Amino acid sequence: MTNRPWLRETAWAIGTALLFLALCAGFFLLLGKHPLELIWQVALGAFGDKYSATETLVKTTPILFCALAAAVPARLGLLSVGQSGQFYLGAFVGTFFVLRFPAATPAFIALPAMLLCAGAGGAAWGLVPGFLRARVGVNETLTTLLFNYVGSLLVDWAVYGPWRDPNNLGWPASPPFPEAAKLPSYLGSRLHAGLFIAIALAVGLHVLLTRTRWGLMLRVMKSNRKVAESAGMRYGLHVVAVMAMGGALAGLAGICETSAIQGRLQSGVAANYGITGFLVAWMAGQHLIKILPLALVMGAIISASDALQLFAELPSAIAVVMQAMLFLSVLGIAGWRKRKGV
Amino acid sequence: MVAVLRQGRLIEEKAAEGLTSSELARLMVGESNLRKADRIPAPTALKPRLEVQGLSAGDAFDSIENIGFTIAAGEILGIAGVSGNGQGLLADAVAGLLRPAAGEVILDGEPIHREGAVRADYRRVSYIPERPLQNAVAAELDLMVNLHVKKITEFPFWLRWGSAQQNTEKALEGFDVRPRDPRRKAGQLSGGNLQKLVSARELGGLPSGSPDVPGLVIACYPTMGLDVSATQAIYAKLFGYASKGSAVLWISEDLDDLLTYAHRIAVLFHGKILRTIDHENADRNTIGALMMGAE
Repeated sequence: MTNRPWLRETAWAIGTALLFLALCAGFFLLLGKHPLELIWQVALGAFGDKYSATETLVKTTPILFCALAAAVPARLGLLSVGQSGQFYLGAFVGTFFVLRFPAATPAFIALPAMLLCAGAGGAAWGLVPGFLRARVGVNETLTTLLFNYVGSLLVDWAVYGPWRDPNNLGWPASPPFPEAAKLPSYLGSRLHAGLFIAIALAVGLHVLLTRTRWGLMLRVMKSNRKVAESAGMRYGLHVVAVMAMGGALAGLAGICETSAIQGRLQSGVAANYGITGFLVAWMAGQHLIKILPLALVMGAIISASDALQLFAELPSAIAVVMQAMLFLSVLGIAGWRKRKGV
Repeated sequence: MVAVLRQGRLIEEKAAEGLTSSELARLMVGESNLRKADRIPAPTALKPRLEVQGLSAGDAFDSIENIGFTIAAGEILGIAGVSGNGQGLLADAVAGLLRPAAGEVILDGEPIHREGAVRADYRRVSYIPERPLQNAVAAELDLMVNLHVKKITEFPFWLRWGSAQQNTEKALEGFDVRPRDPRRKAGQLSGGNLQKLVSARELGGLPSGSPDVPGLVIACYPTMGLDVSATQAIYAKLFGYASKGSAVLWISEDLDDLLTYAHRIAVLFHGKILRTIDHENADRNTIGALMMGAE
């Protein structure tokens, strides 16, 4: 036992990374490829040049938001799987207002307003399951899961119906966002401000959850609701609050992706970011800072798999397998440590 | 044969036959530690502090029905009964934790039973519930948080523990909670030490900023799992509140202790109070028969 816990945590993190690489190498070997060379190819595909590196960060951004969106309710013991639906609602509500901004709205008004509206939209999609859980005890996992379908269909309805841009010649998408409502991008790439918003939120929320009275109250309520209530804490109120906060975070992912990457609202914009973020949150044990590197690795795997298809002639499904390897090593090591108490 | 273990050491091994209970108690706790709690004399002026009227709660399997009683300032009302006759529900309902189906609980003229989402008044009520691991502590959190749990809503926004660590150590020492480690998780304590931890919180174990004397003290099997001397120490603190003017509601299965310390004894059977008997008129046989449901 060292008296420097961060040193021990770092050592375990390196061990986890090595196990992950070993598992991947074994899998590549089974495919009849040279394992080290293929791992090198994956690393190059994810970080090898400016384009790959920024694309990795582009994929990381929505995963990071969605992981935070799953982790915040989990701090109260709630299992929300509604990140994808909240993502769509953020994109939907954000787009609704962006398309109604007066033409001359400057960016310094348009962007905060857009983010605020998207956050509110996502929050609403978390708030309803939260309210149902708090008031009538409906299982939040089921309601958030079902709300995912509604959110996705709502966006489909909008882009196939009333919001379809007639200039698109039948292609289902909203009219493009005005320049003032596009998040700034950097390095001449698709890397956009959303990443920095997400990192700032992760750090800020981490401080909020670990250093404040509210964070302590959540820990007590998660551990024993009855004790918390007998000490004057309003469980139901906080259920609604964390569910709405989670929803807002996923909603921000939705509008960032819509505004900075697509430039317009499209069907299927959430891709698999919701569920990937959820997995990242659970791999990180709901620790908001540990979410950062794990989201980056997930983003790297997804981004590199595109490159792999081209250079290594491997199916893109390899990304899914590598995600599973990551999952196996992170949860395996964590479970082993818990059992051994180290 | 009886073997007596004390703090991990074999103290005595002798034939069970001919061994008296007082001798056994002496062996278990050691000669010097055996000190019985004083009996608090019944208050002379019966000014009711707590009034419970028509209280009903629960479901088909576990319920209380139309419970009514009063407790005066400084009075100890003992609830006798075989456990599982609604004791936990009664304690929770009076403490304002669960919403009763009917009836009311009035403390010093103000209702304290639960009506909305939050307990009406947790500051003026000290409550030691049954099964502390499930009902009284946050098992994953440390002893310091668990001791301060009733104060958390009044903490400053940015947590500052300050003197809390020392206060915690003192409280753990005062109530003999082992190990005396404020950072230990509550779930790692043994049943007896958990019971002492909850007593330390509810019976004013925190030296600084400890609350004024609570209007009502509810204790549900407060000495479960404790040895003889620890039991007497808890009794001394619990009944001490009666001498300071609290109304004390004490639920116990131990008939001898009830007959010694309670000013009145109410017998709970199948969720109803069969009869309430004054200390002077109470005897083992009557109460024992009532506990089995005999009218």
